[in-house]
Amino acid sequence: MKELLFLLAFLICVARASCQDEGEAAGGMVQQLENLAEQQEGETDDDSQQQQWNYYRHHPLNLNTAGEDELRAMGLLTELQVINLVRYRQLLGNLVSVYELQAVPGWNIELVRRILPLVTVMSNRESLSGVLRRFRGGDHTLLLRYARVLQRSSGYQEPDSGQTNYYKGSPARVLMRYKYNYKNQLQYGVIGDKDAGEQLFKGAQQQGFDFYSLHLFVRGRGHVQSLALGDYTVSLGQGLIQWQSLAFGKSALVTAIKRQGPVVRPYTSAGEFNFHRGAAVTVKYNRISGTFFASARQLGGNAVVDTLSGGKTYISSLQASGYHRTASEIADRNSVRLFAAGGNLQLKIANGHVGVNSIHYTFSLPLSRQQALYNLFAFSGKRLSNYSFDWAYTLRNAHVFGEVAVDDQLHAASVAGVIVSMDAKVDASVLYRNLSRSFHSLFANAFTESASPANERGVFAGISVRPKPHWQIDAYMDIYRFPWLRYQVDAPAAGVDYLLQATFTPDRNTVLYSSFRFGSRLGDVPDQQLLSEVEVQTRRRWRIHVSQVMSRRFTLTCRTEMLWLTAPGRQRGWLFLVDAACKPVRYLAVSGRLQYFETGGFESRIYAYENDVAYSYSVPGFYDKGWRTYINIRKDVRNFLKIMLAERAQLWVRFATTFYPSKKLIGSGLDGIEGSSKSDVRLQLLIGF
Amino acid sequence: MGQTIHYAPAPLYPGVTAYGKTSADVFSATNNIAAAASLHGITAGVYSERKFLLEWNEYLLAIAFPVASTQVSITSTYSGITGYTEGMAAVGLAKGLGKIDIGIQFIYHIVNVAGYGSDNAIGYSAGLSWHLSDQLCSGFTITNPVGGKFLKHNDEKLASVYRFGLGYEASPTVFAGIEVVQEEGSPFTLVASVEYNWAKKFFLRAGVETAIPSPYLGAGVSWKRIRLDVVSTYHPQLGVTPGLLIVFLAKKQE
Repeated sequence: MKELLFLLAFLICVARASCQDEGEAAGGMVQQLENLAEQQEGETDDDSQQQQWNYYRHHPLNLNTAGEDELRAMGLLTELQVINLVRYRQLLGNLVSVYELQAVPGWNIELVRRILPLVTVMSNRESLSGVLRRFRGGDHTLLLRYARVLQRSSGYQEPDSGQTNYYKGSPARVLMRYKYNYKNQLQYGVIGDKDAGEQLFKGAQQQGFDFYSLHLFVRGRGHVQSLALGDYTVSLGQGLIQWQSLAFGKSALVTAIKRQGPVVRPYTSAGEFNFHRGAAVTVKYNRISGTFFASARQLGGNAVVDTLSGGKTYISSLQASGYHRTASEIADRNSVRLFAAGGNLQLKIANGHVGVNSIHYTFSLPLSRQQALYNLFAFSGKRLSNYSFDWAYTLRNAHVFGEVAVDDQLHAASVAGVIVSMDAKVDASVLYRNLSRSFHSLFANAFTESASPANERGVFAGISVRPKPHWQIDAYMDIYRFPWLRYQVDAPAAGVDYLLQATFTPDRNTVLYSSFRFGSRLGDVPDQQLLSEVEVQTRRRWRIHVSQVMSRRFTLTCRTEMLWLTAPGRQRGWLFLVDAACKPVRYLAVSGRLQYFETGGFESRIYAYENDVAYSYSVPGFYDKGWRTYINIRKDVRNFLKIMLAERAQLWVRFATTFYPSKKLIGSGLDGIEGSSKSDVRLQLLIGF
Repeated sequence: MGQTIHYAPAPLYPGVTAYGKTSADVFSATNNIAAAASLHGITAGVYSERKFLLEWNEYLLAIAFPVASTQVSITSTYSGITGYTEGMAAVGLAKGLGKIDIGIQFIYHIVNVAGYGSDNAIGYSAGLSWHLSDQLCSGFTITNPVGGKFLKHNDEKLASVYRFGLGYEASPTVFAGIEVVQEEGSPFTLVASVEYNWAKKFFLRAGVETAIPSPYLGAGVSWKRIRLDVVSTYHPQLGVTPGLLIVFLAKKQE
C-alpha cells in the first residue's frame, strides 16, 4: 500500500498528445512472443519495440526520407521489404500517398494496413536540430505501474525464528519510468523498478527501488552519428557475439530470420540484466561507420568460496532474473563486476555491407560453472573475447547475410542465410547455423533453437505462399543437432520442427488462421539418474484462431489450441479462449477474456498471449485444469488531470484470476499459494506532456 | 470436487452442420444451441442408432419452432441398455443478432441404474455462432462450466463440455466443418465432416471423430419436406453402428 501511495503522489504536468491503442503488440508479433515465452519459460521485459511504435503513432515515420536503418528498426518489415521500398524511391521518386505502398514489390495490403498508423508520406526531410535546442519541445512521458498478486504466497508468511528464506519486501511490483524524447534526436530518462518481494527504502534497498536505470541518447550531426551515455544496448551482426535487443526465433513469419536493427540503442526497459552501462559512440566517415563502446557494471551472481584452493572465490552462475527478495538473493547482488568494451566497423557497399565486430569482457571474479557433464565445454575464467565478421548483400530479389564468429580460444560459430522473393506470391528463406560446442559468448542471441548460441548445427527453411487473394500459407522446417549434452539432455541429441499455417482474411476485419506444429527431439527419461537414458519426445500442436472487428467499437476473438505430447508421459493439452474488446464510449476501452484449459501436466502447458496494460507483455503458460479470466480497462483521464496540464493521460486497471478447481495449492516453494485461485491486479498511469 | 460423470458416447452424425448458416438443421442445436437461430419455421427430427449392433440403443428427438424473434429448440435423448439408461431433455432459446447468434439451453439429465435407482441433475449450456462471412461460420458452446451436481449423489456432477467449431459452405451444395470437443477429464476429440448435396434431393455426409478414431458415412434423400438419411458409424474394436435420421420441415427450405 505504501508503494501505491508513493505512486499516486508522483504527479506532474505539461502538454502534447493523442489517445490511441498504446503499447499493444502487433498481430504477427503475438505468435513470436508466445514462442519466445515458451523458449524462455517466461515473458520478456523488453518493451522497447512497443515504445518505438508508440513514438511513431505520435510522430509517424516519413517513408520518403527514412533510411534503411530506420525502416529496419521499426521491427515490422523484412529485409526485402526495406530494400524494395528504398529501390522504389530511387527509381520512381517520392511516394505521393501511403496507399502507393501497395505498388512496392513485396508490400501487400495487409502489411500496409499494419504499418499505416506508424508512417506518413511527406516530401520534406526533417532537419536535425541543434543539441541544446532539443532539450525543449520534446515529449515527456511518465509511466507509473503497480501490480501485485492478491493472495499471499508462503514466501510472505511470517517466518519462523532463524529462517532466512522468505521474501523481505511486500508483494507489490512497482515500476516508474520517465522519458524525454525529442523527435528521436535526443532521448533521456530514468527507470526505477521494484519486483514483488523486494523492499522499498529499507533493508537492502535503502535508495528506494532495487533497480535504477538512466539513459541519454543523442543522434548527432556530421561525423558523430550517435552518442549513448548511461544504459544502452549493443547489437552486432547476426547476434552470435552480441545481441541485446528484442529478437525472436522460429515463427510463422518465415522470412523474419535475419537479425536487424541499430547497433546502439538507449536502454529503456525494466529488465535488470541484458544491457551495458557506460558510453557508446557511433561515428561515420563516407561509407565507413564505426561504433565503440565501453561498459562497467555490477552483476548478480552466486559467489562460492572454494576452500580446497585456498579460499578463492568464484562465481558459479550469473543471476539474470534481477530478483533480490530473499537473504540469499540479496547476498548475490552486485557480487561481480563486469567490464566490457568493443566495437564494430562497417563498410557500406553497393546493395550491402560488410562489418567486423569485437567485444571483450573482464570479470572481477572468475566464472566457474557447476561440475556437470553438460558443462564440460562451458565458459570458465575471468576474461572472454569474441570477434566476428558479418555481411549482407542484396542481389535482385535475393538477400544473403551471415556472420562468422570466434572466441579467444578460436572456437567458431557461423550463421548464413538467404531470403528470396521468388515471385509476387512466393517468398522463401533458408538459414544454416553451425556453432561449436565450445563456442562462448555473453549477451548473444542468434537464430538458434537453444537460448544461447553454442553447441548447435542446423538448417531452417521456410516458405510463404499467397496462392489466391485473401489466402496465405506459411510453412517451415527446421532440422538441428546438438553435438554435446545439454541441461536435462544427457546425450548428444537431434531434433526436427515443422510448421504449417493457413491464414484466411476474407475481408479487412476478419482473420482466421489454422496452425499446425510438429516437433520431435531427444530428451531425458525422467528417471532421476545421474546419466539418464534419452527418448524421443514428440510434440504436436494445432491452433485455430478466429478474430473479427465486428464494428468500430467491438472486436471478438476465439481460439482453440490442442497439444499432443508423447514423452515424458503421454499427455494432451487443450485450451479454449474467447476475447472481447470494446470501446463503449470515447476514451474508454475494455477488453476481457474467458478461457478454459485442461492439460495433462506441466510438460503439456500451453502459452497464450493476453492483453495487458501498455508496455507490459503477459504470456502465461497454462497447465493442469482450470479457468482463466481477466478484464482490462483503459480510460483517458486527461480531463480528470487537467489541472496538471497533461495533454495525454491514460489509466489502466487490470484484474485477472485463474481458478484451478482440483487444486488446493497453486505453485510451489515460496511462491506457493494455498487455495484454488490466484488473482492479480495491475494499475498503470501513463501521462504525456 | 467429487467424481465427474461422463456422458454416453453421443451420436456423431446429427449436429455436424451446426456451423453453417444454410446447412444447419434441427439437430444442430445439440452441438451448438445458437445454431437454432439459423432455422426457419417449424422443423422436427428423429434419429436412432443401434450401437455396435448390440443391445445398446440411442434415440434423439429434436423440435424447433419460432416464437416472436427467437427460435425455441426442444431436444430429448435416450441412451442405454437393460440395466443402465441415460436420458436428457433440454429446452433452449436462440436468437440472431446479425453477425452473431446466441443461445442458451437448460438441460435435465437423468441416469437410471438397475438395482441402484435413479438420479438426476440440472445442467445448462450457452452457445454462440459467429457468421464471419456468407460462407464461413464459427462458434462455440460451453456446457456445465460449473454446477451440474446430481441431486441425490451430490458428490458427483455432470462433466463440463467445451466445443469450438468452424464451418465452411463452399457452395450451396458443399459444406465442410470441424469441431473440437473437450469433455472434462477426457482427452479432447476432433470431429470433421463434409456434406455434399446433389440436385437438392440427394445427400452424402462423411466424417471422422479422432478420439477413437471413428469414421462415419451417411446417405440421404429429400422429398418434399422430409429428409431421410441412412447412417453407418465404425468403431475399430466394437464394429459398426447403423442409424436412421428423419427430418421434417414445416416450411420447405430454400
